[in-house]
Amino acid sequence: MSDADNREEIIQYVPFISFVHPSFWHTLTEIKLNIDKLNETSKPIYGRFTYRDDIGAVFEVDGTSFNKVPETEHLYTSVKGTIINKNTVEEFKSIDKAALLNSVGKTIWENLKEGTWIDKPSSLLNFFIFSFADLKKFHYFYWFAFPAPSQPTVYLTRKGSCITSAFTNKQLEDLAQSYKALDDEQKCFFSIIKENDTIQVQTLAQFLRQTECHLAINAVYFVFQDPSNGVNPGWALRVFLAALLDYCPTLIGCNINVIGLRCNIFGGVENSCIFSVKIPVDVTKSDAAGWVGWERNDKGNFGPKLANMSASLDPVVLADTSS
Amino acid sequence: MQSVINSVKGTALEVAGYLTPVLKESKFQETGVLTPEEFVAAGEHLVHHCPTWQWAKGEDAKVRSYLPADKQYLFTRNVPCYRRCKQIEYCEDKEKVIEDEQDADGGWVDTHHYDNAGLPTVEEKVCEMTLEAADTGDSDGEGAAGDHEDDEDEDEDGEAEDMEEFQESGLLDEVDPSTDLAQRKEDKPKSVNKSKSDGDEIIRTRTYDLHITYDKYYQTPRLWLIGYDEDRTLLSVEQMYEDVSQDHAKKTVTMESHPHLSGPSMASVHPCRHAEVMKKIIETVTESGGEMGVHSYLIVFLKFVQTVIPTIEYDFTQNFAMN
Repeated sequence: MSDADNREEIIQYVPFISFVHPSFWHTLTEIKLNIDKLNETSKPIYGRFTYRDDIGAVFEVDGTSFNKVPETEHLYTSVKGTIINKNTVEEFKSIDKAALLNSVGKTIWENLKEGTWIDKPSSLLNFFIFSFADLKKFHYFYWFAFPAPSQPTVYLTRKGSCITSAFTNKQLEDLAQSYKALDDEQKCFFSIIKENDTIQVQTLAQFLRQTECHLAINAVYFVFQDPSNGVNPGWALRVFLAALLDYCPTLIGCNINVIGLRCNIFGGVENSCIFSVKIPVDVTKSDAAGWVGWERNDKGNFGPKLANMSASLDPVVLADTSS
Repeated sequence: MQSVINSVKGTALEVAGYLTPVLKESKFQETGVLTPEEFVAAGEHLVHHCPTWQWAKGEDAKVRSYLPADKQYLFTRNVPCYRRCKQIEYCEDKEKVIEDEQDADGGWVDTHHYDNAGLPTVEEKVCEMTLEAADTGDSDGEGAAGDHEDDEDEDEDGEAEDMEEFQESGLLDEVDPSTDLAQRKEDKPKSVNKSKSDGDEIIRTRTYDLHITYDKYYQTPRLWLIGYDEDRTLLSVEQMYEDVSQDHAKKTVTMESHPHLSGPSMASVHPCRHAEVMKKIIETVTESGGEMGVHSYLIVFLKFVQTVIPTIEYDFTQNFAMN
C-alpha cells in the first residue's frame, strides 16, 4: 500500500435522497380527511432503500408505506419510520427543527442503550417525515430526516475498494449464500469472520455476545447493506458504527474492516465495497452529541420540499383537464 | 380527444370490471383468458424462472379478494431503457404487420421483426441521431424534467419564492464534517451540461418499473409502466410516450388508475387484445403439434407486449418457440 492510499480522511457518509411516489400523497390525503381529521398524532410508516448497485442512495415511500406490514422486496430493505404531519403551516414553520431531530435522536439512543438492536439489528434504521398538507391547494410540504448521532467522527484510511481484492470468488459465493439464509431483520447489519480460506457469516448477536473473543480484529468484517453505489459508504453505516462503538469501547483506537454490501440484480455480491475505518483514540462519544440527518432540498439548502399534486388531486383541476 | 375517450372508457370498464363475476373455470385453451388461479400459477412460473420479477401486495385498502393477499400483482424494478423509441422508429425494413383477419386496424406491428441482421443499423442510427435526439426528443424532456413536482413549483414563481421562507439555519447538519456532499456538487455541472445538449453526451438512461396486474374485466394480465429519468424523477405522460412504439401510443398504451395503488393515472398497455393474441399463439403452437401450458402465459405475454415498448429492456431468460 502506498502512502497516497494510506492518507486518513474523515469518513463521508452518502446521504439518502428521498423519493415520494404520488400514491403516497393520495393515501395520506385519504387518511387525513377520513380517519385522522384534526388529530395530529404521528403515524408509523415504512420506507425502503435498495442496496442494488445500479440504483443510487434513493429512499422511497409510496402508497404501501401506510400498510400494517411492510412489503418484503428482493434487494430492498424496509425501514420503519414516522410521519409527523402538522395541521397548520405556521406550526410547520415555527417548530424548532434542531430540537425536533434531537428529541427523536434521544429516543433512538435510549432504545439503543437497552441493547435490543444486537438481536434485532434492523431496528437501528430509522427515518421520519415532517410534513404539512395543504388540502385546499393540494400542496404538500415535506422534509425527510434520517437521524444519526453527529459523533463519533471516524476516519477512512482508504477509500472504498472492491471486495474482490480481499475475497476469492469462492468466498463471495459463500457470502451470497449465507447472506440469503439470514433472517430479514439480521440482514441489515451482520459480521463476517475470515480465517484463511474460509469465511463465516455471523449475526451480530452471535458475534458480539460470545464470551471470549480471541480473534484478531483484522479477521472481522462488519457488514451493512449499502445504499450508496460510489466510493463512499451509505448513510446507514453511521448509526451502526455509533452503536457498535457504544457497545464495544474496546474498538476505540482500532482499525476495523467494514463491508458495504451491494448486490447486482441476480443477488451477486462482487460489487460490494470494503472500507478500512480508523477509530481515533480521542473519539467523542455519541451520548451528548447532537443529531444530524435532515435532508437537503433540491437547491442544496436545508428546507422542506414541495409536492404540488393539484393536477391529480384537485377536483377543480381534474374537472378542467377532463373537459 | 383520444385521452377523453380513454378516460371515459376507463371509468366505464372499472364499473364493468366490478360487476363482472370472477372467472371460475379455465377457458384458456378456447379464448386465451385466465382465471385468477391461473394468473397466480403463471406468476409463480415467471417468478421462478425470472427472479427479477416478484410478487407484491399493494396497498392494504386495495387488496382484491379473488387473489391471494400477498400475491396481488407482479413487478420488476429499474429496468433500463437506453434509447427513445422515436430514435429507432420507422425503420420500415424491420417492421412487419402481424395480421389478424378480425382486426380492423390491421393487427399488431412488430417493429423488430427482422431485427437480427439489422442490429448494427440500429446502432448507427442511434449515433447519427444523437444530436437530433438531444435537441428534440430529450431536450423537451429536459424542460419538463422536473415533472409533476418541481416543474409546477417553478412554473408558479410565487411558489418558488415561498420555499425560501421555509429554509432553516443553525442546524447541526450544516457543519457536519461527515456528510458526503459530492453527489450534489456533481449534479449541478452535469445539469448545466445537459441543457446545452451537446449531443456527445452519454446516452441518458431512463429506467422503468413494470407491474403486471390481473385485469378482472378482460380476464388477462395487464402491464403497467412507471418511468424515471436519470435523476430519478418521474417521467411525465408525454415523456413516457416517447418510449412507446408510435403505433401504440395513446391507443394501446393509455393512462388509467392502478388497481392496487392509489394516485394519479398510470401508463398501462390496454388489455383488450391480449386474449385474442394469446389465442392466436395457442392455435399456432397447437397446429405445429405442440402444447402451450397455462403456466407459460406470462412469459409469452411479456414477449408480445415487447412490441409495444421495444426499447425497455426487461430481461428474458427463457426462449419460447412458436413452432
